[in-house]
Amino acid sequence: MFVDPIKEGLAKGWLHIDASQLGKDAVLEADVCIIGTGAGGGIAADVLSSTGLKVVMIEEGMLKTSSDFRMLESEAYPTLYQESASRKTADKAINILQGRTVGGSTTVNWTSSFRTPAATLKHWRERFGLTDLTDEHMAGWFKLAEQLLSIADWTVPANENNSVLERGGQKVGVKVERIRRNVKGCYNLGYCGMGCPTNAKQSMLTTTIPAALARGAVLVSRARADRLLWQGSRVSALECTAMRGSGYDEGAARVRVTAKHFVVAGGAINSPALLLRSKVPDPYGRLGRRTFLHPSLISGAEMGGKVEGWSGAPQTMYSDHFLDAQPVDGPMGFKLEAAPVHPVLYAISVNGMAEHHRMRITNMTSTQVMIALCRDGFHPESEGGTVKLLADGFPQLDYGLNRYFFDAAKRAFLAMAEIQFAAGAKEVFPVDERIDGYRNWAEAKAGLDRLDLRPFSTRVASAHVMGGCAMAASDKDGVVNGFGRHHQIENLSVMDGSVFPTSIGANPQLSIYGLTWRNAARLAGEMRRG
Amino acid sequence: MWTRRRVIFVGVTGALAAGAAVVLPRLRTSGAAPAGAGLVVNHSDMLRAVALALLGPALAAAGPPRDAQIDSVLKACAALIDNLPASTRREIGDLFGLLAIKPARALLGYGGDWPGADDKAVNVFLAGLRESSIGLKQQAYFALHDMVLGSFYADSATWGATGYPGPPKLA
Repeated sequence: MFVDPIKEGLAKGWLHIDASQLGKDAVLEADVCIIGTGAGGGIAADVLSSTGLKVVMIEEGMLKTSSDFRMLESEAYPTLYQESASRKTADKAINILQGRTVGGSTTVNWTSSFRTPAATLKHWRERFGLTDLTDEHMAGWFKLAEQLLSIADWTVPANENNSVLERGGQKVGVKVERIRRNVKGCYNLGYCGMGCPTNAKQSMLTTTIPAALARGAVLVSRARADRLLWQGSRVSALECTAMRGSGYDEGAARVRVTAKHFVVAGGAINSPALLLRSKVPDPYGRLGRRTFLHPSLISGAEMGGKVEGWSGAPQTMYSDHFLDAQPVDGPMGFKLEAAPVHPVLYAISVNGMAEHHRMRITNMTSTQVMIALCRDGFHPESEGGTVKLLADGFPQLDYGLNRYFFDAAKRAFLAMAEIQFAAGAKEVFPVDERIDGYRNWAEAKAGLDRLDLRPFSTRVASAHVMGGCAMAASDKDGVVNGFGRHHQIENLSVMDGSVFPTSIGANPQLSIYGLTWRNAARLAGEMRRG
Repeated sequence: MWTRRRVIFVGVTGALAAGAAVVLPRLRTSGAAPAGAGLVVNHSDMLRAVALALLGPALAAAGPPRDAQIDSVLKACAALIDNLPASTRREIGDLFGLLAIKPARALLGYGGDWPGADDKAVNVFLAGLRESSIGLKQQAYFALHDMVLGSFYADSATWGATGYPGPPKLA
C-alpha cells in the first residue's frame, strides 16, 4: 500500500477544519489569510509560513488525498473539479477544466511544466510596464520551483498517444520536443487528471501545503470565500460560508478570518469574482476583464492499431512550431500537445450520437487525440473574456469566439490532421459536429478549407484559465502591480494565474509557481520588517 | 438587408423568448435550485427517450437489461445535477421544463409525446437542435449530449465494448 502523508500528518495533529462539519460559526485570526490552495495559494502558503508568519488557508473544495484517488472519472470529476468538470463560458460554447479541491488544479493537472516563454515576458515588459520581469530575473525563481517540485526531463518512452505527435511532426518538418514534468518516482499510470494515487505528482497537495501544515498553518476546506470586508485602503476580514456535500449546497456555519494581509489565490474566474463580490475599488474597470483560456481544438485520429491513450504519462511531447511561426501579436499561434483518452472525457468530447458516436467509442483503443492550445491575449482582436457575477454572486465568464480565433482554429485543425496522417492515421476527425472524418490528408485539406468553423459546432475546450486580475505597472491597465499587490488596497495581494495580463502560451503551472514565489518572498520580507 | 432567412430566424427566436418568458418565470433569477432526483423523476419520460436516441446501439436490445441501463443513466444524471451550482441547476430545470410543454418543444423541433417516442424522430429532433444556428437550441443539444453520454460511460459496466480495461490495480 502507498502511504498517504497528508492523512498521516493529520493524525499527528496538523490543523485542518472541514467547514462542512462545523456545528457553529468559527472565527480565525492569522498574519496572512490565503484564499485558494492551488498553484498560487500553495506556493504562497509555503513561502510565507517558512518565515514564521501565521497562515490560514481557505479552500472551497474538499480535502481529498492519495488514498481517496481511485482513478475513476465518476468520482474525480464531481469531487475534484469546478462544476463537476463541466464549467462553461456564458454562452456554453467552451468547456473549462479547472480544479476545485485542496491543491487546486495542481491536484488534477497533467504535470506539464514550462517556464514562461521569453516572447510572453517581453510582451508584458513592453505592453504592461512590467520591466523587472526579464528572463534572467525570472530564471532564478523558476529554478527554485523546479527544484522543490522535482521538475525535470521525462526520460521514459512516450506512450503511443504522444508518440504520434513526435513521429508525425518529424515527417512533416514540425519540431516536437519533450515536456518536463513535476513528478518523483512516477509509475507512468496515466491518471494524473483524477488525482495521483501514488503521490508521485509533486502538486501543491503533496509538497507546499503539507510543508505549511507542518509549520502550524491552518487549512479550512469546504469554506466558500464570500467577501472581503474593507474600509479605506485596508481589508479587515474575510467572510466565508461553509459548504455541505460535495457540490455547491450551503451549510449552516459561517467562517470569519481576520488577518494583517490577505492573499487572493482562487484562480482565474474565482479570484476576480471574490473581488467583484467584495466591491473593492476598481476605478478603471479592469477587474474581471482580459480573462484568457488558451481556447483549444481537438483532433482525433483512428490509427488502425493499439494506442490506449488512457495509459502512460498523459502529456510528454509538444510542439511550439506554430507559436514561433509568427510574431506573438500577429495571427494567433497555437501549441500542439496530446490529451489522454478516458471514457467519460472522450464520450463528451467526440461528436455525433447513436451509431456514429458508438463507432467512435468502440474504436477508443486505437484513437489518438491531439489538441491545439491557442495563445490568446496578444492581439487587439484577442481581448479575452470578462468575469461577471450572476444574481446569486456565482461567477460566469463571458468569452466570445471571433474570426481571429477561428482563423487559428482552421490552421490548427489542418496542422493536426497533417501530422496525424503523416504518423500513419487511417482516419482523422477534427472535432466539429459537421465533420464525420477524413480518410487522407488531401481529403482533410479540401474538407477543412471549405468548412466555416463556428461556435458550438466546433468543439472548443480549455484547461488553462488566466487573467481577470491583471498585473500592470499602471493602475489604469491592471488590478495589481508586478508584485501582485492590489493597486488600491494596501494589505491585499493576488497570487495566482489571474494576474497574468495575457495568456502564457504554455501550460501555466510553472509560471504561477515562479511568479508567486518571487512575490510571496517580497511580501514576507515586508511583513517581517513590519 | 432583411432576407427571408433572417426574418425566420428572428421569428423563431422571438417566439422562443416569449415562450420562455411565459413558461419559465424563474429564468435567470435566484431562488431554490431544483434537486437532481426531483428533476429526473419529473422528466423521466423525456430523459428516457433522449437517452435511447443518443445511445442507440450502445444499449442492449429492448427489455429489462436495457431498462436497467437507462435507469442507471438517469440516476447518474441526477447525481451530476446535484453537484452543479444552483444557477446551472436552474438552467437545466428550465430546459427540462421547456421540453415538457408540447407547444414549447414543438417550437424547438419536436411536437410528439415522450412516452413511447420513436427513436428516429427523437434523433431527427436532436440533430435539428445541434445543427440550428440558434444558441439556445445548440446549448440544449450539448447539455443533453454531455449529460447522457458522460453518465453512461462513467459506469464501468459499459467499458467492455470500448476496450477500456479500467484503472490499473495498485499493489
